[in-house]
Amino acid sequence: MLIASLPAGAVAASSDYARAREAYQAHDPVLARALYEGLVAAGVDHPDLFYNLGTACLAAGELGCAAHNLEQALRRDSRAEDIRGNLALVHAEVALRVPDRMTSAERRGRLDRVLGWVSMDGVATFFLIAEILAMAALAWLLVARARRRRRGIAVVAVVVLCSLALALGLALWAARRELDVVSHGIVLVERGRLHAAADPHSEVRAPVHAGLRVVVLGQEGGWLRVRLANGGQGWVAREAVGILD
Amino acid sequence: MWRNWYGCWLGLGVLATLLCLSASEAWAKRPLAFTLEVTPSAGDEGEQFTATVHLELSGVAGPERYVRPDFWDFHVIDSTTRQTTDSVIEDGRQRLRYVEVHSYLLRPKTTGRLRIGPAKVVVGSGEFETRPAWLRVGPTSAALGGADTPPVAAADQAAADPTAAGERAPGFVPPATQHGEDVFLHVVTTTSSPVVGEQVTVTWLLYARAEVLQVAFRPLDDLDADVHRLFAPASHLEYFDVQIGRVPYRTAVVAKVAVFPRTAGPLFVPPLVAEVVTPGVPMDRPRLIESPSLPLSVAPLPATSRADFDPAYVGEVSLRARLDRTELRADEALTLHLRVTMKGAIQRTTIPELFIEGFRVRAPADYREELEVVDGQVRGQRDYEYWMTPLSEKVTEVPAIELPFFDPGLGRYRVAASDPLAVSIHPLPVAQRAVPEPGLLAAAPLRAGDTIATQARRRLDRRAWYRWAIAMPPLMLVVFAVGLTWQRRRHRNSPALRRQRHQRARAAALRRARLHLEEADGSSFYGALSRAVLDYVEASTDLSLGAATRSVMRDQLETKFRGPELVGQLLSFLDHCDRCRFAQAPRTRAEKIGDHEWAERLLDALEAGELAPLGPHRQGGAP
Repeated sequence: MLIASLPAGAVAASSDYARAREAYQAHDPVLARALYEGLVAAGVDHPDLFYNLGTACLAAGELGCAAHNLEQALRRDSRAEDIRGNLALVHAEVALRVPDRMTSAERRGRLDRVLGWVSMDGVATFFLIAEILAMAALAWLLVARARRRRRGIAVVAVVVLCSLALALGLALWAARRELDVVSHGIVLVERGRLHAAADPHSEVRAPVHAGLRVVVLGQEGGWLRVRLANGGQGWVAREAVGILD
Repeated sequence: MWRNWYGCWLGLGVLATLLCLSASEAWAKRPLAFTLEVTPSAGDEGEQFTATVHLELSGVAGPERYVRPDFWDFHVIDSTTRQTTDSVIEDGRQRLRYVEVHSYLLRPKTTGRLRIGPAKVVVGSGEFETRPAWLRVGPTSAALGGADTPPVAAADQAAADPTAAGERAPGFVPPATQHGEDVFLHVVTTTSSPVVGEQVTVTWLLYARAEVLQVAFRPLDDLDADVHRLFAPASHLEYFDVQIGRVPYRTAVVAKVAVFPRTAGPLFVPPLVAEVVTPGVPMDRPRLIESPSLPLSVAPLPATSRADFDPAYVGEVSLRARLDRTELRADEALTLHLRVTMKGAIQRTTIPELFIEGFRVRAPADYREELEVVDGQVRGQRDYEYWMTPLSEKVTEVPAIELPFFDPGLGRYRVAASDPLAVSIHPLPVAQRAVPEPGLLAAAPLRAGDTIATQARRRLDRRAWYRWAIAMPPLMLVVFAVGLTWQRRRHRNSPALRRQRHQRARAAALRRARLHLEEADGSSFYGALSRAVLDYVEASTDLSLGAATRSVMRDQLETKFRGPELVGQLLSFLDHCDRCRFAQAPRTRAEKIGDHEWAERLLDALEAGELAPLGPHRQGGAP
């Protein structure tokens, strides 16, 4: 993972990265977490960093922080088994600590589940290949029509390849929208509240717990308007939710 | 001159006569009696006065119009009217009289010398009025602070709530004066400006002058608040006697609820609707009465700095905590029993989340709850059980658990706290300490490596070159299609393509001639043959030869083809075909085949470009 040319800031980042690892191995996950968070604040964006930070939070017992950073890592490396394993551990620990949690809000959407298993790079690659082949088939059809030759095979090829390209294109568009347009967040606090209004004294609609995935609909002052997986909507304090980017 | 005077006197006389006649008519309709009397004529501000208007008319007909007196300085508490007709003997003769009496129960608004305006009546063509009445109203004895003014005893205060001996109506306020209603519903509340979550007790009372034979209440409409029923009559209403003004009523509490507003702002308690049957009201068509809607102005809770405040905790809260064990090992757990007692809507509260230093706390999934109503106040208690494990052997106590709440009685926040609980944590044996946390043991380790890249590899679809890669194939296809179309148009008019078209057309024409040959249709055969040659010549030379004469054809063809002999052969063949079409003696099949072959050779020669004259074409046969 060494980079050939690193700016001066990156040298300090690598030093903190090594120190964080040493701290974790010395059973000091709190220091490790602080060092990793410093790297994130400095702008380092790597799935390994988020994974290590999430693991350090898990070791420190900070389930919300662990879930948030592991989800960040999963966004960048969706096929990694170690990330999935630690994330499952976080959810299990939350289930132990918060038995009265709202389980109906924990289920992930269908598209979200699919994105967890499908590689975006693979979809993009297949779409590009299918598009090129579809264009080639269309060109073949044009030539066959111009030369008054038999076009049956060309038509079949065009239909098949264009359908495949269209399907892959739609899948890519939906995945991009879900990942890049819709704003998702993870609840950071172990036990929080979903309010009816952006007011701590307003009616509490439902409890929220660490690791719960929410869709962020808007912001007003220090409050976020969110939607849960079970459709419930309400307001949560800004500091209680970590945005996924 | 005397005529003018005479006329003037005559007119005056007529006028006077008319006046007298009208006056006599009015006099005939004049009330026999029309008076206004007020009793008593003097009193104090708290007394009630009765004004009576007495009207007597001869005959049986009443007045055309009656205008009651002006009671500007008085409240009209009640009014009654009585009309009768009776007969009297006057001067030996029986006469009929119409009597109308209006009575008004009054309460003065102010003190001093107060006036009651005259009553007016229109009878026939005349209008009559009474004299006004004057009263002297002094201040009440209590306002004067007289020595003999008795203090208001507690018993008298309690008597303000007429139902105090039975189901009480907290916050009772007597109803305002009613307008002759014999049955009505009155509503009272403990406060009209509560804070969010504060209990507001709303009580409905039924007032009736007549006997209530049957009453049924409709359910209250929903409102944006938690409602807890405090009272509903089981089988019968408990009535108490009361007076409104001087009018006797009987009253009973019919419903009482505790309302806990959820949000700040205006809140309207909907009216209570009842179906009442009194004497004179059919049982199957009860009378509908409803109480007025009750407006409340709900104030928000004041700001607090405590982030752990649950807005449902409004009232009075107390905590009690105990542990199921006070000595345990570092790897064991203990249970914290927490009892929350509250005056207020405890059913709205959520499970308190506890952060106890030195312990890992797992909140309970459920709880035991008990609710009761004591003296009109909703109360409740909940028992929670928290499962806790110590994080360190150095922990010596469970600190006091605090629960902030808002006390509406004091108008400020308070904190309910339990007592700290002592606990003793025994350390684990040495060998056991090496066993790490099971959760950490299961976690995957950190990723290897002591350095990290500043930025990870970007997703493929987010790279700039990918967008170009997506856009290029359709663009290239469009360019390809445009180029192909242009090339096809260009090629369509090329000499080679034209030559191909001519050859195809020529071959098709000769095939058609062959068909006619096979069908033994000599006329059509030679027609098709000459048509084939002529079409080919026209297509290859862009000449229109259909209607031209032979000499015009010769001139035009010699400009296109080199070799005038060939042109001559062509024209001779055309003439030969024309003759054979209409010949009396048809040609033989062999001769026709020979003509067909000769036509092919002729066309080949025309196409070859390097033209050489063919052998002379013999008249009537192939060369």
